[in-house]
Parts: sequence; C-alpha cells; structure tokens
Amino acid sequence: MSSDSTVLTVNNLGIRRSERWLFRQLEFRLRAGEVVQVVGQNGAGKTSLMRSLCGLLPHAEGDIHWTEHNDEPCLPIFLGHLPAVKPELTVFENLHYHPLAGKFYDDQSIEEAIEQVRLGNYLDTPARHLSAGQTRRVGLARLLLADTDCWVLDEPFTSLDVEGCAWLEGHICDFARRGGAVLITSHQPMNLAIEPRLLQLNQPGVSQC
Amino acid sequence: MLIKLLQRELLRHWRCRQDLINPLIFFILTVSLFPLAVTPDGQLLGQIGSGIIWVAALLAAMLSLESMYRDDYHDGTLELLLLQSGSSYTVVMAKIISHWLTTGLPLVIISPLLAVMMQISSEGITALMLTLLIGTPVLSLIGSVGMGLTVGLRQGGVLLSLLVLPLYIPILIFGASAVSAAAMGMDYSGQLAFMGAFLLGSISLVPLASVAAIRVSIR
Repeated sequence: MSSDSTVLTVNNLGIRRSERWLFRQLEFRLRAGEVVQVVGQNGAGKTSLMRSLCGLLPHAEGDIHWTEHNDEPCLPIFLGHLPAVKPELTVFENLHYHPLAGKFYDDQSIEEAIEQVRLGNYLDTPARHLSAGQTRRVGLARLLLADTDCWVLDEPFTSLDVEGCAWLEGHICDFARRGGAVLITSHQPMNLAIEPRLLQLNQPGVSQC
Repeated sequence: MLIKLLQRELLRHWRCRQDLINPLIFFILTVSLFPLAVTPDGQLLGQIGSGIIWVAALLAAMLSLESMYRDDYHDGTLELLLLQSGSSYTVVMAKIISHWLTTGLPLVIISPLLAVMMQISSEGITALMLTLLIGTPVLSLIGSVGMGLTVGLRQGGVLLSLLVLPLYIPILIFGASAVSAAAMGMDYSGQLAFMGAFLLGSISLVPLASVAAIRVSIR
C-alpha cells in the first residue's frame, strides 16, 4: 500500500431525500494514510453521505469509486449509529460469527481484539448484559479485527468514556499511519495526532473540500 | 461463508428457544382442535384432514416470518452483514435456510403424528410428508421476499400477509390435493412435480428479489 494511493474517489455526488437535496456536486478524494472529518450541522447529510459511500443508500447523481486492490473491491468497515451487536450472543460469538470485510477471523485474533477493548472479562457474557458503552466497544473490536483499507466512522465517540475516546483517537492515528484511510464524523472535539482534513457539507448548493 | 453464517443463525435461534417452539405449538394446537370442534368421526376427518394440516402449516410458517429479519434490522446487524459479507445473496440464503430448519423441518417431522390423529391413510401420510418437505422451503423462500419488503415498516404484519398469502396459495392447492389423491389411492406425482417446479423456481429467483427488497428497506 503506497502512501499516496487514492482509496476513494467521489465525483459530483448528490443525495436527495424525497424532494429535498441534502447536497449536490460534492467532490473529494480519500487517500491512504489520511483522516477526513465530515462536518456540518444536524441534518446536513453526514450520515446519509456515509451510508451512500458504503452502498446502503442510493445516490441521486454523480459517482462513487472505491479503488480495487488485486481485483478485490475495497470493503470499508462502517460503524454507524446502531451497535449491530446481537444481545443473545456472547461478546466472543458476536465477533466470531460476523463477517468483516468479506471474511471471518480466527479465535486468537478475536480474543486479542476483545482484550484490547478491555472486555476481556466479558468474553462469554451475553451482550444483553453489557452497558451501552461496552456494547460500543464490541463495535470497536471490529475495527481492530477487520482487514480493510478504510474505516467509515459515524459518531464513534458516542457513549464512550474519556479513556475510551482517547484510546480510539490513538487507534485512528495508528491506522492512518499504517496507511489506512479514515472518514469520520463527530460533534465532540477530537485530539488527533494527525490533523484531520475537513470536508464541509453546506446546505444548499455547492460543497467543496 | 454460508456455513458460518448458518451457524450464527442457528445459535441465535437456539438462544431464543421460545420463538422456536411457537410455530410448532401453533401448528399442533390448530390441527388438534379440529376433531374437537367439528366431529371425531373418522371418515369426515380423513377427507378434510389433509387440507387442515396444510392450512395450519402455512399459517405457522407465516407466523414465524417476523423473526427472520426484524431483530437484525432494528439493531443494525442486517446492514452490516450485507455490507461486510461481500455477498448479500449468501446472507439471505443463510437466513432462509435457517428459517426453514427451525420452522419448516419441525413441521414436517411432527406431521405424521397429526396425520394419524386426523385418520389419514398410510399412503396419505407419505404424501403429506413429501409435499410438506417440498412445500415448506417454498413458504420460507417466498416469505423472505415479503419480510424483506415490510421489515422497515412499523406495522408490517397485515401488509406481509396480504403480500405473501396470494403467492402461497398455489403451494397450498397442490399440496393438499396431492395428499387427497394419495389417500384415495391415486397417483400424485403430477402435483409433486408442480411443487418441485415451484421450489426450483423460487430458489433461483428469490435471493435476487430478497436482496433487492432489503436494500429498499434499509435505505
């Protein structure tokens, strides 16, 4: 992975919610080793943009291109508002039986990831006994596991404690230094060692980066 | 990939056994109430029994469709699965297979017992098991499309039945008529062939339709 390679190219993107355009003519590139923070007011379309980039939401105009690696499409890992943790499965099973970036991971790497997000004592606890912050940490363990070039994080600091936030900030920088690309939204102030590039979503009309 | 996803689904069902037993209890209760309500007369029961068992099986399968995507939709697992698995069709197929294993298969296994209770002849029982074995997967397959479309709605229950029931009717007609034919000692391979055609047709088309339906729901 060379450090200047483009992970994602977005051309002339526009997203419409029924009759209202959230934004139009959005152009930007996401390069490996870079952190891009999407900023905008509530309702400016930050979440819609992220879901659309991941292919969960159809876009009205323009195109989104993920750079392919060895003919394999890049599968970004998306961490959204919903935890995507099954309450009836244990923490371990939640990671063990969930594909990430197109594959499953072995027991040892899962245990290490759980240890790292400080849920080691909860390995075999059903996820319904976890608190909101702990459930969030299960989602963060997915980031550590996933073998992907890009993280798409939508408000990842929600319900995390101060220590957890600092931990996540550290890992975002580590990941970027290793050549990963991060697209993030957050309303909380972040202390990233790598200065994030801002992508302003303005409403209405033209958005530029 | 399919096997791992299937294991996940089955493990989840095993952890919520209540949902697992529900359709089966419904099936047994409905069928066993008929002799009490209508008449315990063997000849009449033998005539209407196959229809009753088939209707009860169909309703039981429909009752359990909710559990297919609803929970996964609400906690965001469904979108993450579609996104991260690399193949949405595998996810949908795993869901359908696990739905059949947890609701369709138990119905097939328990059906001979109910058939004896309804005084269906032994030829009829073989035919009943065969038609249910071919028919219940079709119910799960078609149901997954309906469920995919209605999963995003707050009260999709009624809409789901309206969408799915017309598509279930051919299966019901062929299934019940095969059992009646068998009970009268006639050849029922024609009906079975039709049901087999439904099964193959829906296996090849349903994954496409289900994925498209879910994509509409999660946007």
